[in-house]
Amino acid sequence: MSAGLPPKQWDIWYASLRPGIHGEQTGDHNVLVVSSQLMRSNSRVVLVAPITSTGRDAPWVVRVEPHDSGLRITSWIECDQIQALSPSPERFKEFRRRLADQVRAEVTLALHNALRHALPDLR
Amino acid sequence: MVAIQPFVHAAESPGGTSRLRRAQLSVVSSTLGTFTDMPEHLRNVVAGIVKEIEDRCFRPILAAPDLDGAMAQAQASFLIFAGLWPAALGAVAPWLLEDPERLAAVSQVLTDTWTSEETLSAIGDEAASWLAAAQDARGAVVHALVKNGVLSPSPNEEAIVPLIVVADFAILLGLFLAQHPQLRVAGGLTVAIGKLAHESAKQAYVLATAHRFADPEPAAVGS
Repeated sequence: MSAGLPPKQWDIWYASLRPGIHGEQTGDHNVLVVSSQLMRSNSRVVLVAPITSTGRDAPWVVRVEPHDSGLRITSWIECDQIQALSPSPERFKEFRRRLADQVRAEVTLALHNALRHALPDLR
Repeated sequence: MVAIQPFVHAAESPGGTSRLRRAQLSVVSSTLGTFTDMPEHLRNVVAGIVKEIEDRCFRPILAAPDLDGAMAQAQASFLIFAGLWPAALGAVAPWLLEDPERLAAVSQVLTDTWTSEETLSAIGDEAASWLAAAQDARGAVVHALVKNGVLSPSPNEEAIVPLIVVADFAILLGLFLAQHPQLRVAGGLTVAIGKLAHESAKQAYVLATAHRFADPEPAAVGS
């Protein structure tokens, strides 16, 4: 898989998040790109979920092991901290790797949990 | 992280697997009996089995003095549950799968249950969030495997079924606790049960959707 900009869904990048206040993820972090491939051509931003090294136990957080993320340590994907970032080199500094397939299923559930009742039931 | 392996192993034991049915993938709910279009004899059968589950499986868990004791009792209760639950599902599955709308209705009722004011008041936000997430993952497993009312074969079925039984056990126990707020339970039990439900349903979903999230193979050069 190529690793260029704009980032693709399920890419892990080292990126600069937006400034924030208490409780919000800020600064430079690894992030997971979650926005749809279809947004790439007609949106000015991509949606990312920050990845942190601080564990949190919640249904909108996904624990990911190094062999699935390519990161050095066990990490947590925070689907309750989604941010919209410009797909520019100032934001997306370094491509890490693609998230392992099986963890993607967990992320879809976590996103659903974070957005409960904001999404239609399409079943 | 909640330990689900003792429960999964119990479901996989020789006595357990012989009782499991593929139909266990398809439905979950102690609220099945609330659907007015369910034939009365069917509703009575389900209600009878659920009552037995509550008396023989769930109430002994609540009698434990602390969380460790309650979880130990939960493992013992799970063995009884694994023997009773297939009978309820076997009775109701044909009716439920006959019309996809019924399955969707069950899912909707449960989803609404976890976010109702009554439930949040009874079991708290944290437990409700785990149980709601478990319920959705459980529903997503059904969605992934059932097409037009028919259960599609899955290469991971043998691994999925025990996880689903564990999830059903924990979700039903969570419902029972939500419906009986007056009962005293060991501290932390409701959250632990919610995590048990979520972890098992989530793992089942990951297995049920294996390969769905894989990147497409790159096209061969010259093709």
